[in-house]
Amino acid sequence: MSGLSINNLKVGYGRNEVIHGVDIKVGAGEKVALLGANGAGKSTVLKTISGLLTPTEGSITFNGEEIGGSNPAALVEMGVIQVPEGRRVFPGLNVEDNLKVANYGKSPDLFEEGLEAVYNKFPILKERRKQAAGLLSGGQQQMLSLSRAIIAKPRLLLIDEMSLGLAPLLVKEFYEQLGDLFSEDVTLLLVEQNAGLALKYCSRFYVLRNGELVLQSDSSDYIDDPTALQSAYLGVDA
Amino acid sequence: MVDYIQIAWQGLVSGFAYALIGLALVMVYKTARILNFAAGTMAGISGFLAHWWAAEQDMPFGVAILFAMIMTGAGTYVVERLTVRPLVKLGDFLPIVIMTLGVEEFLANVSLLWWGGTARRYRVPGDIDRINWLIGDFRLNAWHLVVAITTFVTLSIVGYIINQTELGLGMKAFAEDQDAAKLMGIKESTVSIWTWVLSALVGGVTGIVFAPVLFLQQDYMNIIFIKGFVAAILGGFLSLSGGVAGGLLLGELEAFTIKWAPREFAAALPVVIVFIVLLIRPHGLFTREKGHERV
Repeated sequence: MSGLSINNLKVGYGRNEVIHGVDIKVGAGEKVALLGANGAGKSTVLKTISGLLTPTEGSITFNGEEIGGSNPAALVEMGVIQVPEGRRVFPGLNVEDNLKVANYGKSPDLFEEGLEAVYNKFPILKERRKQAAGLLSGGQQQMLSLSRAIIAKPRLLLIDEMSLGLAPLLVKEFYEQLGDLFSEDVTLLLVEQNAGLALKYCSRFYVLRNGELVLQSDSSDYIDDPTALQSAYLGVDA
Repeated sequence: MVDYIQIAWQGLVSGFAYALIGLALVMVYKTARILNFAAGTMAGISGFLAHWWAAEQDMPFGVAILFAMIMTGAGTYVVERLTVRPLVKLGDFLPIVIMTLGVEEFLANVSLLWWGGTARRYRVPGDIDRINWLIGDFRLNAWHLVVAITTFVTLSIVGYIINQTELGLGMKAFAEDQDAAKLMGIKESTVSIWTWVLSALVGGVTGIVFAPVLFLQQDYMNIIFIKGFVAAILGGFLSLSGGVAGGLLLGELEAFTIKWAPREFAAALPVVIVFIVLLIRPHGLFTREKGHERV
């Protein structure tokens, strides 16, 4: 099957299991959100898909190929690209070097192309291309983090909590821009706490609580009243 | 006045050794978060190899050095794969550091077996290490000039690799954020091994170029290793240029201590410096304290 398919995924840190058997499907080109409160295990799921963590059980396939437990570099080569939580730009490297890192091991010609696309979309990054990324504002750092993903040419894009530490208005802008930044056929799994934003952009969603899926549904069922998800987030009747 | 210039030059020459070893240590620590306690002994073996090929196998001086450097690089490659790599997966700092101590012990004993415990002179063509020029009252040793040039060239090459090549970019990315670097598709094991090799080559150059100054002895690089370690601490252990600056500073401090204080005190100086630096500026003299993450 094409797209991303996660079956009975279990992940832990040491002996501490934090993901207790999760099933997620994202069809090719589909945009899906993974929602949940702080500490629900959303980031752990993403880190496992991108190879930073190894599953203890279960399988992860992308376009039919088993990718669970692969090393991150091999996954990047396959087009599995993660925009990490908290942006994680390299603070001491300048903007252009940050982008260059996203092209690691690939041809410089491709990089020039990607760079032009990025600078067209975010002219401020071009203005600041020689500045250390640590000196950028939070919003600019998020631009840079997204730009690295643009350069990496994702087939499966994993975005971890864009809203973290950014002004709500800014976050809204980023979500509105997403469709513009990445091609339509990129498969997307997006982690978010802020359900309202994510539902507008994604067609389906899952809710994770304490390492287990507690709800999955079409966004349209909740888009008018995202607060109705609160009980799913928290496990109480809100 | 000339007296002071002479002392400063002397300090600078010793400082070059500390700076290079400091650089080699910081490089590995910064990218791979590993302290390599074998760095000094590895550098010493490079010196012995160059000597052995030149003096006992009758190879031309330059070719012997080239062979020694190739062996240093290849040997380090093997050592990293055999000893360090299997432990990296455990994700723990201490086992790897202890492993480098084991490697140090092993290499020290192998070199003792091979070359014995006696000191030898590392001969350079034309015995230029015995040529001294007098410039006014200032005495300049020809080999010290070679040491200075070699240091300068080595630092330039390392600077070029760090700042202009893809390997350097990978090293910097890894030094800043390992997970983020992995997510960008940089292979941890590739960056790590080439960092080790580069570090060992810098150490090898140091071992060879200082062999005529120090005399080849089984443990002749140990004292340089300790002082290189101090240099790295002075520089905060996370800054390449800081490590180099720390080495030069230590060389000067040492030279002037010998001038004004009993010789015995100069031997204790590095330890005293580490004590003071860790007490007052634990992040080193040349690096700023890590600021808060910007949100």
